[in-house]
Amino acid sequence: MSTAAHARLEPVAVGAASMATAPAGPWTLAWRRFRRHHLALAGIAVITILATASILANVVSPYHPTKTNLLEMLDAPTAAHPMGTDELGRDLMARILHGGRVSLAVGVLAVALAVTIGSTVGAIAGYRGGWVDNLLMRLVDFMIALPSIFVLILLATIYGTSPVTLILVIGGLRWMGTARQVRGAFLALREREFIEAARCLGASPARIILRHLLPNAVGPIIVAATLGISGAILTESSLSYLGLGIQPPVASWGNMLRNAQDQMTRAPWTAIFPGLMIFLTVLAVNYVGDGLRDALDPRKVGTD
Amino acid sequence: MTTKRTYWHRLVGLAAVAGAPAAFIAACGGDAAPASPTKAPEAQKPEPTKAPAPAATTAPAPAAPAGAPKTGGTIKIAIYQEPANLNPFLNTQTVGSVVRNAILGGLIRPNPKGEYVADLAAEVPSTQNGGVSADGKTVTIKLRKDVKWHDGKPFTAADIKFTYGVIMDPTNPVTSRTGYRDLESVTVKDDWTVELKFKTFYAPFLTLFGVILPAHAFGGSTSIEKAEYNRKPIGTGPYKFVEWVSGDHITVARNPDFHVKGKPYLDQVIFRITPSREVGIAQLKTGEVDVVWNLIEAQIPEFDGSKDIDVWAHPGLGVERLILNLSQPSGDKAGDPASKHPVLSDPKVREAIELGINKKVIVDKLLYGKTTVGSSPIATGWAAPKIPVSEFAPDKAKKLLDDAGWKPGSDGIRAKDGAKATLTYQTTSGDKLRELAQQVIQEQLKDIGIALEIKNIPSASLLGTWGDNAPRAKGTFDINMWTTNPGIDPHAHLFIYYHSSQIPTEANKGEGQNYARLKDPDLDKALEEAGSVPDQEKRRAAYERAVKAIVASRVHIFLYNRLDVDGARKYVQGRTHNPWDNLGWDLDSWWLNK
Repeated sequence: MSTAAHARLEPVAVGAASMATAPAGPWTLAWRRFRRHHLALAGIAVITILATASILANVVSPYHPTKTNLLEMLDAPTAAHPMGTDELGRDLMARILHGGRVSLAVGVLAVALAVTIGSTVGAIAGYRGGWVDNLLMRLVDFMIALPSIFVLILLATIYGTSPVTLILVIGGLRWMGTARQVRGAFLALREREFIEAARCLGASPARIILRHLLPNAVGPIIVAATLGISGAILTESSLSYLGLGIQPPVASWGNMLRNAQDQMTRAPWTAIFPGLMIFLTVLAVNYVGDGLRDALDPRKVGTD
Repeated sequence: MTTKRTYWHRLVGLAAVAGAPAAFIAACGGDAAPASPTKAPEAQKPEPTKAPAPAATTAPAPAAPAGAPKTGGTIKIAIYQEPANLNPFLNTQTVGSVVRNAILGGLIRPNPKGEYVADLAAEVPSTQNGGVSADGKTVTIKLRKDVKWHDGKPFTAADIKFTYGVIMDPTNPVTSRTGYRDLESVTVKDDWTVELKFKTFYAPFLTLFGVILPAHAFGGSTSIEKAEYNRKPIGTGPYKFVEWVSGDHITVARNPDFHVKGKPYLDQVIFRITPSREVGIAQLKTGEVDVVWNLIEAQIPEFDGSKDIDVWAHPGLGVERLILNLSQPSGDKAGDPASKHPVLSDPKVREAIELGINKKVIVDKLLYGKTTVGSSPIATGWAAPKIPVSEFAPDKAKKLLDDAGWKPGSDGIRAKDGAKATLTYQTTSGDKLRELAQQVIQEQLKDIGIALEIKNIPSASLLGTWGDNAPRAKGTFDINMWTTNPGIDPHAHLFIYYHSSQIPTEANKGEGQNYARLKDPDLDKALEEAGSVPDQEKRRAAYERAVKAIVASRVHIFLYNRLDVDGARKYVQGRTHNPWDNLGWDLDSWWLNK
């Protein structure tokens, strides 16, 4: 687009007020750009389908996910069991769907937690600067230096492994990247004229952070969040893989995949389907993240 | 499950079995350990004194008709762990015992039936043949006169005395002195006669000296921790040590002077060290190795219908069981034997749990019907009484619970006097077979109104000690599940697991393994008697009483016997399974049919 649009948008906080006056607000522009990212759209479709099917698991599949039937162990996919059965004769599709609830919930909620912590820490550090910044960033360094998989194992051992603790533990160990990105964005933004203007007008720090700074830093936050979801799902998988994730008989994609490892040659479906779900979700979320990054990148504002 | 075996070393205490150091480890093991060390005093040759030549070819495979053994050839055995050393007194790894089985010999060892047979001894001492005094405290052992060490030196009574010196030398970090500590003296009567005098009667005395070291190989010093021997052993076994390339292989070659005439058959045995079982299996499939040591049950079906490979799967000694806590599982009184578990202290509940579990379906479906249903802590051997398998009778279980006042709530879970029949159920995390069995049992017990919550923890925590704050030691559990086995002489194992003096408490610093907190005076008496009389028949009778009391108490619910699983190309012949010993205990009888 034109340099005019560029000039118009650049200094403006992405608030409702500015949107009202602009012919096409930044969110509208972002959506327009996002819409052109076909892979991202496909990603959203995939995630929506998976999430809906998981939430409606009881409707989609007539089978109970933990009901064993030892007479039908490791049956290949048939009309009755579209994804086959597992090593205890449980319907694999029912387990995939119910497992999706766990895996997706762990992914989304752990990331929500991580983003909340990360944004808060990053915002405070970036806005206040000085010793507060120093202190918080050393905390971030410390957390990054922790070998997280061992901490995860330790915490899982001590506090047991319910979905809630998994979410807390995974979320609590994945916020540092967001914190750094938000701080970086804030450091750059707080010297800008529009912030100075807000300050001159007597806006409180809270208002400046929430109304002016955060909306401008929302791009990196959303990107970190989407990319984080796949990381969290994979972390749950690896904890399940180590036997420290979700406890049986509750299914998660991770523990289903782990259980499949020694029967992969005999019953490949028990590995393929949960593996495929993780793969699809991670891929879809990554494409969505890509799309969002492009759509929200302020430097791309005028380029299409 | 590979690493799990390492806990065994903690269990030194129970080492009744401790003939060879290897022997004791298994005793309690927390884990599967099919081919556990308990298995036995090492030694090799199968048919010691009597036995004629033609190998005891109970060919495990229905495969090729076993004709007369052929001489010659090399067998490669894949082992997925490397022994830390090959000195039996400094190493408790099962894999160490597998390799040593080829090289070393001992006085007496158990045969597949669980009977003691002489290896380097001329006969098994008993009260009948005058080898054992009436009070059982003096044992005279006569040695074979035709045995030579691999370097040509004769094997004599001095070697026994030296071995005793090594075990008791305080500078040696030996894995266990159980039993040897009870010895007052070891006296060389003549070159081929040795007399053991015990301070107090030690019931499993026949398990002592399951491996003998050559006195001449240590330059007279009994301090052996740094001896070159530990990586270059000299033995009396069917194969001589040739070389050990760390991380790659250990080679042994035929001992032409082996004291069983006509054996061994193979020219050479190579233990190939592989990074994992899976690599071993891959090499077995391609024929790069001939045998793979120690597979897990879940790998059995991988070879279904294979033209070239046999799976050697046999019930081992370990009995997978539920351990039920009779004391309070939480609060100030947790683990206090005087307190009562709100649910499990009711014997009717314990009985209902056993009746509600379909053990047969677990064996048939999860273990491919290859093992037997568990019914007793002593599954096999001379001390094993016949105990009928519990029935699967969920309706009977429900009635039992109804009559005992356990009424189902709105969710179907029973409760009585405010106590809800919801129990945590723990085993080692990441063990697939166990997790599958757990889920089946969970469903079966839900059917009778008892809810189980699976909360698995890593094996190091589950099978930990008092110092580790392990739930089993502190009594902070409802139901645990693991495998352990009594070894060839059940004395130490049964005593330590079921005698009321063996309940871990603050006062005894957690000694003992009566984790269930069982107190039964009649059982105590039977166990004491079984450990204190030399007469094997009387011991057997006392164990029968003890085992019946244990089974009736249902503090342990025996599910199934774990399998010893190995894989081999079909042309490997001559092997027999010995639950008391490890793979290769009869390596002198193996031959190649190709």
